[in-house]
Amino acid sequence: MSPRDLAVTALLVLAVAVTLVSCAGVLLMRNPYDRLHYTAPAAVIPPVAIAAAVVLEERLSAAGIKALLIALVLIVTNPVLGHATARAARIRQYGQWRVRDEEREGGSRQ
Amino acid sequence: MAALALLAGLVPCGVVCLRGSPVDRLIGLELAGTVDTLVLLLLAQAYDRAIYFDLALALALLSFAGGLVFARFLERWI
Repeated sequence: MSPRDLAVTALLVLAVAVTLVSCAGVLLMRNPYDRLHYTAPAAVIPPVAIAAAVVLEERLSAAGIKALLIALVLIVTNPVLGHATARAARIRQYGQWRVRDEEREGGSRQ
Repeated sequence: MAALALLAGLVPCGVVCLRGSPVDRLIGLELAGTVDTLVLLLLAQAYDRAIYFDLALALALLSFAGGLVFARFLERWI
């Protein structure tokens, strides 16, 4: 096995491991805010690792560039989606997005 | 092989989608979209067809748009 094959295998193992841990975290956490934390690693580390593996295999061919583009899309869109979901969860819970008076420091009204 | 292993990650996502609050289900759906994109990415490389990467790219973009629409609806109306 060449060093390149070894690197590709290591990257794929990393990608699979991080994805499975993220999926387990989403399953085991109790509330939406905790669950949202576990979606981020799955959308950042595995796409980069897989894209790096594809680039190692294919160099910067069409496949390599598209893999990098997909990784970029996932990295950029996941925080936006996470924010939108957290916002939806909070609005459903409290009826508003802004900080409530009870949540301000000391609970004083301003 | 890696794609098959990643498919196992869809099981927890499916379980989360089947129970819990609507927001929990949306989170499961979002993660399933990410895992699906990675599986398609790996399958495209495994079959050695560059055109198949477009499928993964389309899924990544559409699951993002779908997640935003769901989140918007969950805020008020569902």
